[in-house]
Amino acid sequence: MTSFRQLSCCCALLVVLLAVPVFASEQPAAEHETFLQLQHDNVELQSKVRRLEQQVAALRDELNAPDATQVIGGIGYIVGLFGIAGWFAARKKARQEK
Amino acid sequence: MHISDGVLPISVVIGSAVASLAIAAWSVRQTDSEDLPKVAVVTASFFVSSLIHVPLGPTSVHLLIPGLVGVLLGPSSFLAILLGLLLQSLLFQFGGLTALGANALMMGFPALLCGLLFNKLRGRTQKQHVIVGGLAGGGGTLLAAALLALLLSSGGEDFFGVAKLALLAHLPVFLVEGLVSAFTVSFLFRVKPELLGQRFSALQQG
Repeated sequence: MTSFRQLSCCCALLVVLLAVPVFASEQPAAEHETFLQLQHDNVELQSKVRRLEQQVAALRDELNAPDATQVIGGIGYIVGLFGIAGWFAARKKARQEK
Repeated sequence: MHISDGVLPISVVIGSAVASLAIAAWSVRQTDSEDLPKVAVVTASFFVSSLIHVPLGPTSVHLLIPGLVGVLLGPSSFLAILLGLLLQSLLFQFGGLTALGANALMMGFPALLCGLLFNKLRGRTQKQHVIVGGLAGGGGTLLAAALLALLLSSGGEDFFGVAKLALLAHLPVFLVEGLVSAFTVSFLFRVKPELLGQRFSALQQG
């Protein structure tokens, strides 16, 4: 009985020992697959980041672009300043005519 | 086509500020009070025209119309351009306040020159008006681009490199501005020709 046990133990050990190289040869294949997967993910992420960068640049342009209030305000400034100048000119003219 | 803050050396900044102040003072003295509404309208057009973008490949350039301002205002054009640029730099963050003098010189000098040339060469017929007006419109921007290169070369940039870049980038702008100016002059010649008459008489008297 003991010899049978010893034999089966030896067999099991043998199986394990034989199996190790099999596992060892399988592991690089799995690693390679993960590596490929990571590489694929990396490429995908990079294209996504590039798209986001473009969106940020577009958004910045949009934020920097003057909006209608600024344009109308600027025109108001111009009209107002020339209005003041015209008022002074008219006053000067009226005084000269007196 | 605006020079930003901190690009030019201090001496150029101060020099151009003093020069543009002097020219602006002269320009104010040349402006008749009767002309103030006209100057105001053209100033507002100049101020807004920078928002009209001409798409050009991946980038875009905007209208500048120094030539047209000069054609319409003559000696007053420098005042109009200085005020327009001041408001653009305050409201739109175009250029900077310290570079305002250089920017005003860059745009105002071509305007004065184009106005003077238009006044000399416009003749009496509509055709001649339109041709000279169009050339003045395109030429104003061309000259402004050359002045930009000259001013930037004082900051250590390569003159011909910048000039080539500025001229190439603004090639469609020259064309568009020439067309806009020619169209404007032709329209005004038919509708209100007295708007094209400028007061360079004082200039000619000295």
